[in-house]
Amino acid sequence: MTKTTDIVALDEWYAIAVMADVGGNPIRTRLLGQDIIYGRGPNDRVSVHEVDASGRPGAALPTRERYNCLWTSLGAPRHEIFRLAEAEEKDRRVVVCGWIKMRTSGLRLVENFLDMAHFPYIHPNILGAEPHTEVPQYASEIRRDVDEVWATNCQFYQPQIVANGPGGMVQLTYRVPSPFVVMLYRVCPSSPDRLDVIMMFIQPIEEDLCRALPVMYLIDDRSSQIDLLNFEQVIFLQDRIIVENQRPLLLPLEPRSETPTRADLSSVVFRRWLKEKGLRFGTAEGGRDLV
Amino acid sequence: MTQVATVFFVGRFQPESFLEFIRHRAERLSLAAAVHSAGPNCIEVSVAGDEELLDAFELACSLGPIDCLVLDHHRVSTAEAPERVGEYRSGP
Ligand SMILES: [Fe+2]
Repeated sequence: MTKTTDIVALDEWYAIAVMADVGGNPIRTRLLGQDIIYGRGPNDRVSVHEVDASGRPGAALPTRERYNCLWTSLGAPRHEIFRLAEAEEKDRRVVVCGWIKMRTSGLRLVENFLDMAHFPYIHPNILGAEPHTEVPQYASEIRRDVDEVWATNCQFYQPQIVANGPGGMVQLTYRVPSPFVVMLYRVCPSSPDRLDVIMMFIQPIEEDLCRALPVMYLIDDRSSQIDLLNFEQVIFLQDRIIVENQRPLLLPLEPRSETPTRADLSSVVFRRWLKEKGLRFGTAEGGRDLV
Repeated sequence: MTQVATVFFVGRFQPESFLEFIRHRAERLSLAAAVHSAGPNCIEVSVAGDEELLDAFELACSLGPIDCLVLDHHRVSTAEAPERVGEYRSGP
């Protein structure tokens, strides 16, 4: 496909690479249907360029280095990349997992990340376990002052809160700071007055193809790096199976053939927010005019 | 337990489109629904049914059809059954 014409999608920031992977050899990837190339030039300067029709580097794109990643935009972002206060705490352990490519809309992935109801079925004995299948009532809202979606007061029974740890009710807060970034704050098992942060950065490649990078800022000096990486890897590979089998692959903004219940509140609020923003890329209504 | 409530939707509406969505959703959930008022910025509808179904109704309508945008919504319990209930009655 070719570069999207969706201004709302174009004007967002996207994580496109882990900083450690940005070197002297230019690497080609794709964002919103547009081929781009990134690398480190003389003086260690990082740059991202569109690749023009002849295959040569074209326009230089804006860049940022944030949260161990290289970010760029194909448009003119109207705000900076979201701020994560926890990332400024010196004692945090940063865990950058690997990219996972999925044949689905990046928005479906956000929706899946927000959904607690699937834990016992898709991540049995890790993030959930039967018979603890009920999603207790939670709140979800569009915060218009910051233009983000938040879900608060979320709780769920998890049999294994951290790698090889014991189970219990976890307290979760979800945050969607931009359409292709989603994160959760989880009361930290080892220091209950602090929150672990698990983020997922999504690079929308095409309408129905994306890759996702989990990045965690944890309070955890016990787990081994490999255990933490394996834990996330197992979870995201389980999620890949369900998101790739959802139909349609694109996210419907109109719940015509679905029957959402209270547990789906976050998903409904997220879709309402996308509709309000006028985002079309990755939605089932992409070809139709929005309000 | 059957409840009666009025649901208010505030936003930007194509009233016909939103009302059609409401009818479709009420029918799917077997709820009795009656529209009190429908304008381009506010729609008021009475519904009667189980609380869980009212939740589902309000939730689905808060997203609504693609050509309408709900900016805010809330629900108030009312003692009265929906007037003009016959108009959009569905289910048993
Ligand atoms: Fe999952």
